[in-house]
Amino acid sequence: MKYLIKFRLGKDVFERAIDPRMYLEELKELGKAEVKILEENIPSPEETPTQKHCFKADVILETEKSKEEILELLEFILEDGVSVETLEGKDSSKKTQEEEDSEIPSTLLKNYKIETEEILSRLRTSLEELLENPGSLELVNEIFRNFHTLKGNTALLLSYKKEPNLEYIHQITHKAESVLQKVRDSGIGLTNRQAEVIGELVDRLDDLFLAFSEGREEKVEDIFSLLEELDKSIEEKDNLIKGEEVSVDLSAFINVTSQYIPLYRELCSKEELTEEEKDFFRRSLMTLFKISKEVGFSEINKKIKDLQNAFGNIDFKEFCENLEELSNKIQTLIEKEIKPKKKEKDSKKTFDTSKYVTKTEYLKIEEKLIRDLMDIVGELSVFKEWIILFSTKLQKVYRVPEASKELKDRIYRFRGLMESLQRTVLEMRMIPVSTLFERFPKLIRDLSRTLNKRVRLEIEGGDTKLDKVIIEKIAEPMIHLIRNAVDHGIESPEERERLGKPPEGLIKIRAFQEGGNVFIEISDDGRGIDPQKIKKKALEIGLYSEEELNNMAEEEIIQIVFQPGFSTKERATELSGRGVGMDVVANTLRNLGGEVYLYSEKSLGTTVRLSLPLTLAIRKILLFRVGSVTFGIPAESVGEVLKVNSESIKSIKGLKVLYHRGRVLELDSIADKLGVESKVNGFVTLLVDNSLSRAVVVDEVLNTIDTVVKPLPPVVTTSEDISGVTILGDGSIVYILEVLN
Amino acid sequence: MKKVLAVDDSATMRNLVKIALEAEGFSVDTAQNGQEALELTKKNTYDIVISDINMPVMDGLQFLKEFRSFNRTTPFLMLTTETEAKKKEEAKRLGATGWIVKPFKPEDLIKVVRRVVR
Repeated sequence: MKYLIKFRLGKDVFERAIDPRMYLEELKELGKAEVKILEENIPSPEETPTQKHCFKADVILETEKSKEEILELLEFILEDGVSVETLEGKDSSKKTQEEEDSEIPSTLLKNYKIETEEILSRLRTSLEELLENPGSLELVNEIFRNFHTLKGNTALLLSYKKEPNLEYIHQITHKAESVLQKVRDSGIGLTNRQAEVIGELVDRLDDLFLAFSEGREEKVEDIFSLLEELDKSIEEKDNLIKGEEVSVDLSAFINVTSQYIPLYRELCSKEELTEEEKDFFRRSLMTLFKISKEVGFSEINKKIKDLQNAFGNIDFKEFCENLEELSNKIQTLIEKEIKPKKKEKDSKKTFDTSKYVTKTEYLKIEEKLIRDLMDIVGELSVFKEWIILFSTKLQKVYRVPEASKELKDRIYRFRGLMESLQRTVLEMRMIPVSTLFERFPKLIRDLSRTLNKRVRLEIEGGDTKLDKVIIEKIAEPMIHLIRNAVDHGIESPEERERLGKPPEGLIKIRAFQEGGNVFIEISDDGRGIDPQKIKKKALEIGLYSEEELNNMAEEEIIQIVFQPGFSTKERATELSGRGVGMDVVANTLRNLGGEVYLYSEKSLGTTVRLSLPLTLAIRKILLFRVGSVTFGIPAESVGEVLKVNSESIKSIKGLKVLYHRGRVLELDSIADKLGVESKVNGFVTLLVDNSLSRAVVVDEVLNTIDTVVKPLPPVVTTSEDISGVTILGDGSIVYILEVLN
Repeated sequence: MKKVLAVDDSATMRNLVKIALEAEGFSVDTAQNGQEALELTKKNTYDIVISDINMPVMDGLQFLKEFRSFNRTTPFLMLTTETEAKKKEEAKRLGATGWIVKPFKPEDLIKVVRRVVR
């Protein structure tokens, strides 16, 4: 950003102890400043400023700061001959517009909702107390603070998105805050009616907040008349304190007295009064006298007159007693006036009780508690399996078919409950993918700015839910894929126009659930991937032979970008299409038990599709046997299961290897690794990893199960090959091995 | 150490200013009204004076007027409220260096003070 800041300062600023040179220094600190002083005649401290004194300078400032920030810095002299002009860079007004479009980050939104509910409930509590004791300044402060916080929070949300309900909340809190500020400044509490109006305001805030949460619009036009009433009554009160002429009626009398009475009581509890407080007594009694006379309360008027005369002449204690008596009389009078109004209000209140019930949508829970709960559920489900086994045992081993039948009849219900318990706990770990997606608009903006591309982002399915851990783990890969799409996918605006495409590229991020999987697609309408170029590169690096490549479909060829060693930085950037470290993306996805797939059409665009399990809490485990021991292995780490004749295993330099699909597989034996005796001869089973480079020898593959895996505590871990344990239905413990990573 | 005089009839406000600025390494004197403040400014030299407008005995504008009659070089910040636009103009005319709109957060105060005292 480049600005031209013109200083044309005269005598006025020097009379205000302002040294313009200081502003120059501050501007210089903001960035690169080019200062041209046109005329400088600053008076010395001893000199009286005159018309001849002036300071004229032009500053060209190059800085990261926004125009607002610069205007803020110059605030005190802006009206005295300083102007700021934007020479280069986006105008700040444009910037705010850009911000208007952005979505409110969901965590911010969540916090806002939680805090607003708290604030509204605190406000309601304070208001209850305030209606009992309208004169209390402490309560006014408390309410002021709550309005203030709510206003600030709402303004923050509005800076992301203009939303009508929020706008209203902001206006109401702003007005209420400034009115209450006046009350605080005056040092005198509220009247009953004012407290009631504030109560109404809080009700309306409640409605607005609810409307905001539910995404509908709320009509609140009447709120402004309430605000006006409040403002007016406080101003009147202000004037009364200052003893200025105002139209006086009964409500004014009530206003004033209900403010004075609590103060009188407070002052009377003191031993001694300051001059200021004495002054307050004299002035306030004078005001009361004037009003009560006009309202026509002759009895009270007389009492006030007496008190006026008595003040300072009789003992302070005695004066206070008389004052108390007067206060009580006035209060009875006021209550008579206010009661009918209040009754009306009460009936309305009972009608609207639902409004007073706090609705909390969110509950914060420590992540660990949910993990613990998950573990317990996991063990319970093992126990469930045991009961099922036991029911069979009852019949077959213990020979009590009646008991077995009875148990079995109940088990179905139990099983159903267990399943929904498990589902609910899993649900608790799930958060919407929007928590991740909300970072992307900014990412795209930043990327398109640095890469000189024009990109529009469309997001779909942000409310799709995924395990929190998975969301955390796919953040990096997704950012990576988006960066690739902007960098290598989307063409420059000029090129796009040449190709007859709209100059603005489109990146679409779509999330959806299908069965037990969540899919996330990142599509661009850029140049796509040319399979011929991939073929050429794969051949060059020696990943595949020409013959192999010729036998592959174009779709298969495109997937080569995920092969380790294919897409390193140097190689990929020159390749039109995909970029850096796609193998890393593929790996992360596989480790999560997911998959990644690429669809592309040359010059039309590319789509990367991530398929993810809903949760990591339950994993797919492949069970296998070595000798008499059962082990498990995460199913996603197994690329292939092979059955081979043990004779085809060759030994090279002490390593066991196998030729498979033209590649050399390096073999490990579980039996050797863990010291288990294998009882196989002839055929062995191999579990091959995803990249077809390593395999482990086992005796037999049993089946796959969905189960909760518990990590082993470090103290009992004897081998780094063992990552955890799971318990089978029959109660036996199975080690989960990580031998293919 | 830079010396500040904070003038406000509200103890809360005085304390807020005092705590905020002391944390920033200023030494802060306080006064409850313009009269008290004026006496202090005659005895001591301050690097900046921060004063409320509405105060008993002597208000902020009167104080500013009398202060500027013998001191033209010390920055003077007025504490105003959003509704006191007219008074802001008056304060400028009387020689106020700048202003802070109440309610403000301590960090806003520090920012504004730093803008007039280096």
